[in-house]
Amino acid sequence: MPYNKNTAKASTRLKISAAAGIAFLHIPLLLIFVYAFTTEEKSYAFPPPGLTLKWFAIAWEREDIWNALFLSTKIAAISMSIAMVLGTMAAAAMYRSSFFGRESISLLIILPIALPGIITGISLRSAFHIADIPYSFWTIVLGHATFCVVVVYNNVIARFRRTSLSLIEASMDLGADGFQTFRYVILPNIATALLAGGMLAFALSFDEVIVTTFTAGQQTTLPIWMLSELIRPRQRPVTNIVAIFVVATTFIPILAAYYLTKGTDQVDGQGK
Amino acid sequence: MSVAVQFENVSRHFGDVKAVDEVNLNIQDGEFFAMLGPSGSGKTTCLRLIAGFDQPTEGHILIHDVQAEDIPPYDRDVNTVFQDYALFPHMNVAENVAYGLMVKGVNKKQRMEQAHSMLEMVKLPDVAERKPSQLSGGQRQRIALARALINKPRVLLLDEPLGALDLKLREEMQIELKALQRKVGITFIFVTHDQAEALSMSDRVAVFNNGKIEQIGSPSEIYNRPQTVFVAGFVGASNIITKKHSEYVGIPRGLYSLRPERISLAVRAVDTNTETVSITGCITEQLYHGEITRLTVNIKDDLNLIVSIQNKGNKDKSSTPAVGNQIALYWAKSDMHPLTDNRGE
Repeated sequence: MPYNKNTAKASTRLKISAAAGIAFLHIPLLLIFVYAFTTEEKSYAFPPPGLTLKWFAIAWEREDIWNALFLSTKIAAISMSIAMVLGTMAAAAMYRSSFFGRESISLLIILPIALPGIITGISLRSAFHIADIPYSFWTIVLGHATFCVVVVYNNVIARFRRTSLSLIEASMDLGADGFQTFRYVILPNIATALLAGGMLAFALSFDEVIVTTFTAGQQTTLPIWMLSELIRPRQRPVTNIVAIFVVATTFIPILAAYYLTKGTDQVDGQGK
Repeated sequence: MSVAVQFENVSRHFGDVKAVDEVNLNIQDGEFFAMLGPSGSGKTTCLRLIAGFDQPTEGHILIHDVQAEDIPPYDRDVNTVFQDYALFPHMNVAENVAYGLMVKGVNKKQRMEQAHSMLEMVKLPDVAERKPSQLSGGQRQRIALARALINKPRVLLLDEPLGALDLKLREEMQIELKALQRKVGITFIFVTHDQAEALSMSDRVAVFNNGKIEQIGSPSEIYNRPQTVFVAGFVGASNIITKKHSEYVGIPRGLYSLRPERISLAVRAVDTNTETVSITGCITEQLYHGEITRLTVNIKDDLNLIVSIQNKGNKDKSSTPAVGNQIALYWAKSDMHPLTDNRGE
C-alpha cells in the first residue's frame, strides 16, 4: 500500500527530536540506577568516583526501609482489593442498566483519576477532619481506593462492552442463578481485565505521594520515606536503591497488565 | 392437546413504544409454531417474555397452565437458542453443552456422557474438545441446539436461529430442525422474518406487525386466505385491489388480495361472468426468475397487476409476451380474498 509506505518514512530531523525526547525522559532514570552504585555518599558528582555494592547491604539492614516497604505493600494490596470489588460492581451496574443520570454517575466514578491529587488530598483531609476520623492506616487506604476504583472500573467495563449480554441470558436460561452465572460465565470472561485493572491499581497506590501526604497520620509509606530521605545528607545511594525497587514493583505489574489485556483483545476478536 | 404457552392480553411497552400490544395467543403442546414479522414487530420481545428475560407491562403469560411472571428464567421449563448462539467462549464444546447439567449439580461423568449423546444427536460427535471460536457458523448453531435441549425443556425457543447461515446451509438446517422437533416431540417456538422459512417449517404461523398479531393460522391459511393488507403483502407476493380499483375490474366495491400465480394469460379477452374476471392491460415490465417469469401489467391508471407464469416447456423467454404488448388476463373470482384494512386505507 503506497499510502502506508509514505507515512512510514519519517524525516531525519523528526527522528532526532523523537530520540532526544525519549532520552530526556529516560536518562534521569538511568542516573538513579548509576548512583545506586557510587562510592560517594553525600553529593551526586559525575562521573561517580567509584562503584560499590555496599549500599545494598546497608539498605538491607535498615529497619525503617522494611517498615515503609511493608506499609506500602499492605496499603496497595488492600486498596487494590477494595478497588477490584467496587470497580467490578460499578462496571456491572453501569453496563447492564440504563437510568436517568447514568452518564453523570459514570463521570463521577472516573473523576478521582482526572482530579489533581492535591484536590483529592485536601478534600479527603477536610472530610476526615469534619467527620472526626483520626488519620491512620485506613484513611490512607480510603484515599488510595478512590482512584484505584477508577482503573479497575475502566478495564472491566471495557471488557463488559465486548461481552455479549446474551451470554448472561444464556446462562440464566440454562438454569444458572445469579451467583452461578457470575461464577461460571461473568468472572471467567472479565478475569484478565479485572487482574490487569488490579495490577494497575496496585502500582498506582504503591508509589502515590500527594494523597498519602494529606491522609496519613504518623505513617511513613515508601514514597514518603524517600521524600524525607532526600533532605538528609548521609547515605544518599540507599534512596536510589529503594527507587530501583519501586520502579521494579510498579513496572512489572504495569507490563503484566498490558500483556493480559492485549492478548485477550485478539481472542475476543476471533470469537466474533 | 394441552396448551404449552398462553398469552392473555399481553403488552410490553418501552416508554411510548408499544413493542407488544395486547397479544392473545395459544400455542399447543408439541406444536412447531412460527412468529413471523418484520424487525421491530414485537416477535422477539414475545420470545423474551416467554423465556423470562423481560416482563409484560400488562397481561399474563401462562406456561403449561402456570402463571409465569414471577418465575425467573432459570426456573422456567423453557430453553432458548439465541440469534448469536451465545456459546460461552471460555468453555469447550462439551462444557458448553453440559452447562445446564453442571449448574444443576449433575456429576461430571454423567454430564459428559449426556453431552456426548447430545452432540451425536446434532451430528457433531467429534468437536467436543474444540472452542466455539474454532467452529463454523452451522456447527455453532447445532451446538447451541444441543446445549438448549440437554435440560429436556418442554418448550424450545429459537430466535432467528438460521439467520446467520448461508442459503444452502439454511435449507439443510430447516429440514433437520423439523426432523429434530418430530423426534423430541416438544413445542418449538420459532421467530423469523423469513416468510418462506415460516411457511415451510411450522404447523402454525402468527404474523406480527407493530406489536400486534395480524393473523394466526396454518401456513396454507396464511398464504391462501390472508385477512389483512399487511399479511397479504408480507407473506408472499400479492396484488392488492383497492376499493377504487375494484370498479376498474368490474367487481363489487371492496378490498381484495389476489396472488400473482392465480392470474392466467389469454389470447383475447373473454367476458367477465359470475365466476371469472377478465381484463386487458399493457405489459410494462418483465422479470425472469428461472422457474417463473413475473410480468407487471398496467390495467388502468395506478392499477398494476403482477402476474407470474410458470416457465415449463418454454426453453427461452421469447415465447412469453414482451414488454409493450397488450395482453388479456383472467382469474377466478374465488381467488380474490376480501381483506380488512386496519390502516384505514
